[in-house]
Amino acid sequence: MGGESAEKTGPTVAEEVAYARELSLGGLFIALGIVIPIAFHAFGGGKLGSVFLPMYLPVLACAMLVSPPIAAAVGLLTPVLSSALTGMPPVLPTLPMMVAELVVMATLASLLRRRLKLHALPAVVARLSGRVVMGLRAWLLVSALPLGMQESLPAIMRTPLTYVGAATVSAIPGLILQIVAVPAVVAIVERRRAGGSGS
Amino acid sequence: MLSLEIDTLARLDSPVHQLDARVKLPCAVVLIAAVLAVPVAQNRLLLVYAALLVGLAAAARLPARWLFKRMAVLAPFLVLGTVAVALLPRAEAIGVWTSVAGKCALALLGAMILAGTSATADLLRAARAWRVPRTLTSLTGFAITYLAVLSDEAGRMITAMRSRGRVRGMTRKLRTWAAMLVTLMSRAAERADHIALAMVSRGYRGTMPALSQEPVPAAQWALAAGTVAVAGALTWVAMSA
Repeated sequence: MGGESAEKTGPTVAEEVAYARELSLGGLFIALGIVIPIAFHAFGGGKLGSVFLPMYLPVLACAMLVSPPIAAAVGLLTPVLSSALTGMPPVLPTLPMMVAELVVMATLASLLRRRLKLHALPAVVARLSGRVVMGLRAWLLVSALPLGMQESLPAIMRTPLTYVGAATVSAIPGLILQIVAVPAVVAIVERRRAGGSGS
Repeated sequence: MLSLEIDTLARLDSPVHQLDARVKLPCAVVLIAAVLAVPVAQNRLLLVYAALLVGLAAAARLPARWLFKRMAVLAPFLVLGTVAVALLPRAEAIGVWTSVAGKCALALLGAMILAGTSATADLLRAARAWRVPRTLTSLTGFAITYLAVLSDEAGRMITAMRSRGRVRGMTRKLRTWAAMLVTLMSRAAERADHIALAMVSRGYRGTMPALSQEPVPAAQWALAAGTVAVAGALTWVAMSA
């Protein structure tokens, strides 16, 4: 009896290893979320960032390998730390928008992967959910402005749907990269782990 | 590839640097909250906070160039906002914009002073002591620790990619980048597994066994209480005026 209750109170060694693995994976992928955009900027002269959305890649890949709370934390910390250390994305107005988009995207990708055991689809669905969040925040931002200021905005920014459509079309190469690279990383990591646990 | 200035100023010697991070962290949070609580009608109060924070930065001997460089991240937002307000020359719009811009600049200055006078490890320990979720502090710690390692690895891969010659066409570029990113991410995941095993074998049981921390001197707690009292009094004055 006493032994049973003691077992129930503390996590097992396997659970501790799994949690430590999720934490270290999350930490390293946050670091990648800071490094990869810098690499893209260094290589593509700043133009590649908005096309390939390099920060989204490690966040999405990590989200599909860890539990939803860690995925949400990775989505939150990656843009915040990147902004604090490199100045990209700018604190205002981009950072709060990216945080909202990445948290929703990462949580959804993790949930879809864990609950439905999907491979490539979570990347697409999570990416689309991120665009929905982007549309919502654009609408919120525009509606928060005084009427006079709203009229002075360019037409594309006054209609959130057009704005999201334009941003999505320009980021199609990034979406393709995510659909190709993210499931590949997940498959490689899971195959290696399965091989490791089997041996 | 990446030259990040982490903890370069934390080794300076000043009265602010000597304060414990467990005291500096709540003081900074209270000051930033007090700045954000200033009503638009009391914008002049922002000057008091500005003088306080500039005095703190001077006492901490933080180089002005470093501060300006860090504050420059706000520049695009400030310029755009100022242009937008200039198009609407209404007194209320100017007041609101002055409040928003001033609060953003002062909040950032407060955060810069905290970051410039404390080592990252001390700040993370202080955050843990103030019950910030352990997941957030652990993830931040890992990210900062392995940033340089992953940056070097990415740099080596880019050098190798460049030395193989220029890639033409979007499809080929995509394929090259995808291959590089998959390799980089799968290697990082492998490294993470090794780190996790090392952590558990060194006694990780949900938390790492920590050495006992020295208690914060009473004088420093008194200083923290003073900061909270000043910020509270200024906020009360602003609200009741």
